[in-house]
Amino acid sequence: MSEAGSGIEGLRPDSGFARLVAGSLKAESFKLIDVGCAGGLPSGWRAFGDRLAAIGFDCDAGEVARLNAAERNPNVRYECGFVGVPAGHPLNAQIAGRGYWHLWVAGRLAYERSHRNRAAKAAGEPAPSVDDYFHDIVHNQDWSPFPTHGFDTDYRPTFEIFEPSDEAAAAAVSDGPPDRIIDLAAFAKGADFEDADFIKIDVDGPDYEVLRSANALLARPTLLGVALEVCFYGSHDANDNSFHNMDRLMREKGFELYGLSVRAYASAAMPFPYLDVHPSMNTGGRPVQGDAIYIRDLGSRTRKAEAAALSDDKLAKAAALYALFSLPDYAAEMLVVHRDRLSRLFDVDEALDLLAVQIQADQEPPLLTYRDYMAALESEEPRFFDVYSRRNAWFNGLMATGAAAPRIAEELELLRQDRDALASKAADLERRLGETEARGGHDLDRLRGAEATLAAIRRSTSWRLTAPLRWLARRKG
Amino acid sequence: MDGLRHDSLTARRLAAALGEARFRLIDVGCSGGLDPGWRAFEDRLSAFGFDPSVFEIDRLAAQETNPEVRYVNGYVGLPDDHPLKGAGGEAWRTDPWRRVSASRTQQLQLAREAGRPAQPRRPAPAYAPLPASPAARAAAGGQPLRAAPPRLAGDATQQDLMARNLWVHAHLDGGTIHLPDFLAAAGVEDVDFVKIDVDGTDFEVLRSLEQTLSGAGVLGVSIEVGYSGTGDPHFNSFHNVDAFMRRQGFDLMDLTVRRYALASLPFPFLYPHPIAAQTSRGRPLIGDALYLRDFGHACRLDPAAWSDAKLIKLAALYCLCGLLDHAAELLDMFKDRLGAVLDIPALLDQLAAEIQTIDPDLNVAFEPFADYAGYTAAYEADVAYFYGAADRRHDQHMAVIVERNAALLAAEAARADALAAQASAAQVWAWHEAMTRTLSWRITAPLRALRRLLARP
Repeated sequence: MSEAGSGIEGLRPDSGFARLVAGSLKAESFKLIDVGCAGGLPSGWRAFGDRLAAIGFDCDAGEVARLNAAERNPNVRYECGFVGVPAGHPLNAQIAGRGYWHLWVAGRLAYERSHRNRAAKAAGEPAPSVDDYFHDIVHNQDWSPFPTHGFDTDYRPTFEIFEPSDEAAAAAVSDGPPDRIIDLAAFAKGADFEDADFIKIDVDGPDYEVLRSANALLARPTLLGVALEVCFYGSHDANDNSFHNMDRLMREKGFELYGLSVRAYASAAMPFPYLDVHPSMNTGGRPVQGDAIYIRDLGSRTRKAEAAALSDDKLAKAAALYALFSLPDYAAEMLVVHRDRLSRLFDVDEALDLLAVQIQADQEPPLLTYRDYMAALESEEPRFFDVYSRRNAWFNGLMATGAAAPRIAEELELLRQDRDALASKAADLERRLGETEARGGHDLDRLRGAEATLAAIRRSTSWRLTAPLRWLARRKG
Repeated sequence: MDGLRHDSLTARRLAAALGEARFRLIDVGCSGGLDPGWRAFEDRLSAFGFDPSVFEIDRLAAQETNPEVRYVNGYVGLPDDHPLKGAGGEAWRTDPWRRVSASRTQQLQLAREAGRPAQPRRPAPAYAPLPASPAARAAAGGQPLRAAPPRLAGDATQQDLMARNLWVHAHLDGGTIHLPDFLAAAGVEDVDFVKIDVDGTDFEVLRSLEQTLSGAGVLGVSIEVGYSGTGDPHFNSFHNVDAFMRRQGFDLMDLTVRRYALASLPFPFLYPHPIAAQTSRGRPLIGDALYLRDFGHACRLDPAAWSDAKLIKLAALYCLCGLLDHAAELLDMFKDRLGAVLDIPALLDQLAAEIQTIDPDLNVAFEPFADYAGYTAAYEADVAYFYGAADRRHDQHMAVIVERNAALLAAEAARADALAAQASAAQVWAWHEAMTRTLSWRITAPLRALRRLLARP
């Protein structure tokens, strides 16, 4: 039930900052181990360009051949086999034949029922009715009951480290059948990948066993991060492939949880729709699986000694990991805390600006520099608050299509009416102005004509000769 | 508690079928009041809410109209002489709280309100390592943060503090309440649901309830969980809570993740100013975990040990928590047993109607299914409605965006036209006014008056 391809939820397809780091590494490459690599490496890792070195494992021989043929980076290769616990591995004594799944809910889930229906249809057979399915298959069978040996509640042995021998390492990297079981820690030792930077595990079942078998790698402080597909079902047994066991182990090895996704699966009794175009996770239901991202917290002062023991390149790669997993805030903290050391690799202020660009990816330009972004936060600018309402307002606007569209249409109609009324008023005024001007012009012409006649009369000889008579007439009243 | 629904008609119908039976809720950390979703049980709801905020307990008690809902001041936890008391050490010991933007902004706000300068931003101090054994912890005096809550300088009211999630600065008081003892003293033998959210000692509160969880018929627990911490078996971290709850026979039925960005380059806060809390992105710091009983595991629970009322309440809980599929499964599983008190087909039809309204955007272009039989038959027939919800939601969003953008552009164009027409009318009117104020216009007024006089019939 993994995501399409070899994807990890939360891994960005690219990061300008990660590219800057890749181009600045002095001596090291970025070493990746991908267990369950069907679909290929996610594009985010390619931000490291030719500094990326990777080994991918998958049990599908055809897919491994395809990936090897398509790969252009000579430092990336794909191996066929089942990564797990081979015979003779000391972990077998702890597991002692216990199942890695208990209280598995698959039989009750919608996707399982859909697959069964499809298989029956393809075989030309009738699928059992829902009632029969539930009463004969689901409720009367314990799909993965409790451990038959009783619960193992001693969690401490799961932290035990199994260092691979030189012989095991040589055997692991030697050619074998495509269905061979590969000891991950031994393979890493034989392939010079013990200083790997990142491990991804997604094998749809024995993930916790693979993780425990790789305890020797987890114990190395040079391993910066791990991505795991985790299960949200299971018992409290110390050997169950359940998130609580993985989480405890990872914390014990010094990692912190930096990302967690939750994928819900509905019951077949009344399923929510599937998110995908094939039967898998649903829009609602109980949490069944997810992806967990663990990275070392090298920006914390509690990890000062660990950070001091790592190379500058390692610190830069840890910061790049944060940026790739959408945590530019932690990448920035790394740059601020380890400024002196990272300045040997790149211009830290320029890198902080790149991270500021990444964090403002969904905002309109002009984007703020790191310094301005921080100043804006310290002054509590509105942009730093109420994303929930803004997102909800936008989202609710989208969701309320039925309500929003008529409202906008109504507003539009009102505006059109306003526009028409105003245009009509303007036309009326223009008409009246024209009339006024015409009328005023006519009166003005007459006035000017009268003024000219009057001036001519006043200038005439007869007017001047008769002036004493007009004076006498005014005196007489 | 994230995700409790307020609008489940099926939950209300199931609650109504309880008759005289009550739904007993324990809310540890009840600041803000009981979630409105619980009121689906109406007067069948009995609840105890606990909180150390004196102001909040008084406020809630004054507002409460249900006499069966009581609020109690105090700190729920293990008794002071219990060997595991304080075993988890300081609650936020390894937590990056002092590095996150919420903490930094709260510091700035409090400094501003107190009229003192803010401290410069710098990395948080290192924490002391946790002593390995409970005995060593006891010797080191490992106590949760409630021992000496910092007090706020300035005149912010208690109400402001609670509203801004600055409860740690509020007036907190009260003794330790050991819930099993409290419930025994109150004569309560039966509990249906427990909610725990005390911002730090949640795992200790949960541990104090071990006896109650196993003996009082508890159907579910919602607890705020921390995603930080170590592998220490006593620390308030998700892995300890999860293992504990699975040991008590519960299944994880929902899990949310709340993220907090660092102050070094913060993402925006989710809530309005001045609430500085979780951010739009960042590292998972806390979340809510929902645990419920699941009778679908034949190996785990014996249904005969649970009353009909308990099964009905569990179905109602599934509805309130959005697990409509599990409600349907439960009703179908116990239809023979519950058929005497519930109209199972009608409830299933109600659920089928409800599940189609929970994501209305997904139903565009599809006729609603009339009933449960129609809904499940369509699922069995593999019809398109059940597939590609993510794409459909995306397409629907895009279609709405396109439609809204087109409408907004048209509205904008109409608004621009209207404004242009308004400006044109105003200019014409100005010309008219200017002309009528000219000397020549006024001088020729008698001529116009004469012409009007002559023009009269």
